[in-house]
Amino acid sequence: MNVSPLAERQPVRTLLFTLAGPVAAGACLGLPFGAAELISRSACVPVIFLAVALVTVPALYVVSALSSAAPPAQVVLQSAGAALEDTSVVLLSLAPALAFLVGTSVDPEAATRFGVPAMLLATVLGLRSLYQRLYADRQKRPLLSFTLWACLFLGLCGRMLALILSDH
Amino acid sequence: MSTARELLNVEPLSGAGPLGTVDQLLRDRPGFLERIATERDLASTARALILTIAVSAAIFGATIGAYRGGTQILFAALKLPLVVLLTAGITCPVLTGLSRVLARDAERSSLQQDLALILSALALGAIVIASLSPLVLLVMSSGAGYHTVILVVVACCAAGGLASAGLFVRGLLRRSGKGHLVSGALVLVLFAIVGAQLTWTLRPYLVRPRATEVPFVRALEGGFFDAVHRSSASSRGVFFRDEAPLPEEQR
Repeated sequence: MNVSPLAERQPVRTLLFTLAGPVAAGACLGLPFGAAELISRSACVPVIFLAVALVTVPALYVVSALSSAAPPAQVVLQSAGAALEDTSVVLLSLAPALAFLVGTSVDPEAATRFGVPAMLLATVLGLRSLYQRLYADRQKRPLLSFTLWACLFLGLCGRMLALILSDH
Repeated sequence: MSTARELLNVEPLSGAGPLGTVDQLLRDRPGFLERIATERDLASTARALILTIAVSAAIFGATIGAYRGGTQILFAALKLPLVVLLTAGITCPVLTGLSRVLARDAERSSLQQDLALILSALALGAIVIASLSPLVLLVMSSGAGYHTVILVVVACCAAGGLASAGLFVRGLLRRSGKGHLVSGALVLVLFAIVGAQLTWTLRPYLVRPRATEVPFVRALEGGFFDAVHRSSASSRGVFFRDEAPLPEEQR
């Protein structure tokens, strides 16, 4: 349940699939500003997700362990990978709509106006998926500490995203 | 002695190609939704539904184009099906993507099922608005003003939209798990946003009879939400230009 069947068979393809959604979302954010900005944001958005996950997932494991609710470390890592994959699925499915809305608007702020809520939705659904993978089968479910951790994750992602969006 | 019911009892068309699909969609919607749920003959069903949307929306488009007449009849008949079908094409992957994340393995729907459900909802709405075309013609022929006709057209589209939304929700309720309802709600919101933008992009549809030139689409002047943003800013006294251009300046 914690690992997608694709990840078990083809880890490289899984990694590419996990990055595809954030790359597509970044491309949509850079669409009104030319090719250079499009490529730049396509690269930055997946890096943001991976970097924040890398920094915060260990903290999640520690907090869960302190509340006696932590699954094994490998399960935490695999669940985080699967949750990133779910976030990517949502972003990939939203990408055509996002590209259309941004591409047909003359206001450059449309990229932020539509892109940020889409990324927020995808991230929240990914976090929900992570919570279910980690704690669905366990007796103790630390909802409060997970929520606080999720707010930290969202805050860091939002802060880094604001930095790249304010560049233009 | 044969009763009136026996005399009037006609065999259903179900199974007789596109007409059978439309017949079942109108007269046996639970059976139609069951057909989608069991993934029975989805490819031919989808083709029939796309044809239904194209024809029905073209009929309504031609009707509203008739207000101005001439080439606008053809333009509106071409653009309205495009709006409906392109919006469906853009939003369908979202339903599948969200249900993959929100629903459990056993409850997930396939892209083909989601596409068939969305197309069936839109086909029903398109049939409803096509059936309301005579009402629009009556209003036009009674000498109603431009804005009155606009309001009647909006009301007809609202009726079609309600029919579509109703079938869509019924199709989602057949699926087990709350995840499908959440993804359906998000898709409805996205459909409204994308549909509004696409409709705005491909305008005009109802053109005033005194208009001398009728473009197929206007130049990209911004989106629907840009226009809403400008209007709300203007209402607060924030303007982005010195004055609105006069009609003769726009020619």
